[in-house]
Amino acid sequence: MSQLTPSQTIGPFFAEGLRWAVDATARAAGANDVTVDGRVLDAIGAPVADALLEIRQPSASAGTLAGFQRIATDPEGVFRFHVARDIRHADVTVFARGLSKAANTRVHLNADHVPAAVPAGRAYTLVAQPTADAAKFTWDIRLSGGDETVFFEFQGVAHR
Amino acid sequence: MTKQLPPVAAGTHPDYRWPDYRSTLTRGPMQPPIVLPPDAVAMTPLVMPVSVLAPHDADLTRQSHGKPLGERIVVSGRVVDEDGKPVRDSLIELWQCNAAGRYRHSGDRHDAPLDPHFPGFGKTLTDDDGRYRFVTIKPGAYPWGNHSNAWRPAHLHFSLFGNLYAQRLITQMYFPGDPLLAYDPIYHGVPAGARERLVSAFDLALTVEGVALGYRFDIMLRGRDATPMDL
Repeated sequence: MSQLTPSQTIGPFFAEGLRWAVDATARAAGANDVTVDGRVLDAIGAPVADALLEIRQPSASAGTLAGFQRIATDPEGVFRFHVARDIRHADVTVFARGLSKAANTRVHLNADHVPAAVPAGRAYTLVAQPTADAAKFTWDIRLSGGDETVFFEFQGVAHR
Repeated sequence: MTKQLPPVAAGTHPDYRWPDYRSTLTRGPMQPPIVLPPDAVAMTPLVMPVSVLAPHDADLTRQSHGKPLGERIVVSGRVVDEDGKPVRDSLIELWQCNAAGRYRHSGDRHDAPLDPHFPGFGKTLTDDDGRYRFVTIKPGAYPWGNHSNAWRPAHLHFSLFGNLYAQRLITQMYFPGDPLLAYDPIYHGVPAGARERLVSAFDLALTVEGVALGYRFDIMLRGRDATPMDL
């Protein structure tokens, strides 16, 4: 009988304690990176000012925290992170007050890479949109409601 | 190294939407998650070398030139996977309010004093047996705006990385015998039979004579080692 430890919300007061990794993983956009700008929004479209995002993408280097970025949203719910231009996807985990457990999603730069398991009508929620600047994409995360972002749960055997 | 992620048993985690915890109703996803096999990124270990630790990160009572106010405690336990095997060299982050129930955070408006000698956050790595140990101050209860006369039971926030992205967990540890647990909608969002795992146990063996009471908080993360039959 599994005795997995249950999840609890991150609550509103994590910023000081978790900031070290925001700082440690902050990086300027590299030559092969694109910037993803967006907001975290709730069911009524209000900004989520106290969300924490953790981004993981494949990394060629095996260094400390390679491929990992931690970002806190600002008072307008705004975030910015960088991903390599050639990724199939980056994994994005959202934590927030009022989220009782992590919400795992993905951002794609190309709609063709969205997993087939995602209903066609919701795939757009996982695709960052290009802008006039080829190095900048936009992507909002809607935690709940009509345009709710697709969230995932991982199960099964490791893909090797 | 963990190779399998069995489905999470029903009744383990709180639902995203729990009306007694009001903000879940505007922030909790309504759609069920879509199940995917773990990909290479999900199963890639996040390397956490000892260099991420700062001096006294695991002893929150020694991060200032002076001593924090409140009751000193030891919190220790073992982090294991679903086979009971140790989750080694994995990062645990801890944050909490002080003994008066106040967080060092610009958004905390509770009329209780800050303690200049208690930042209230730390981190550590598990050892080869999956064990960790923090020294800290017992946090106070504090009011919140969820409902009339709402108070959070004393709790420590735990953030665990495990060895894989898919093991990531943020949770809260409570104290045995806290009368506020009976009224807390965040604690009660976890189904009965599982929520009790969030309550630490007083442990005389962890108690340091003349120094600090000890509490044990063991943690199980997702993942099994088992080789599936078809491989």
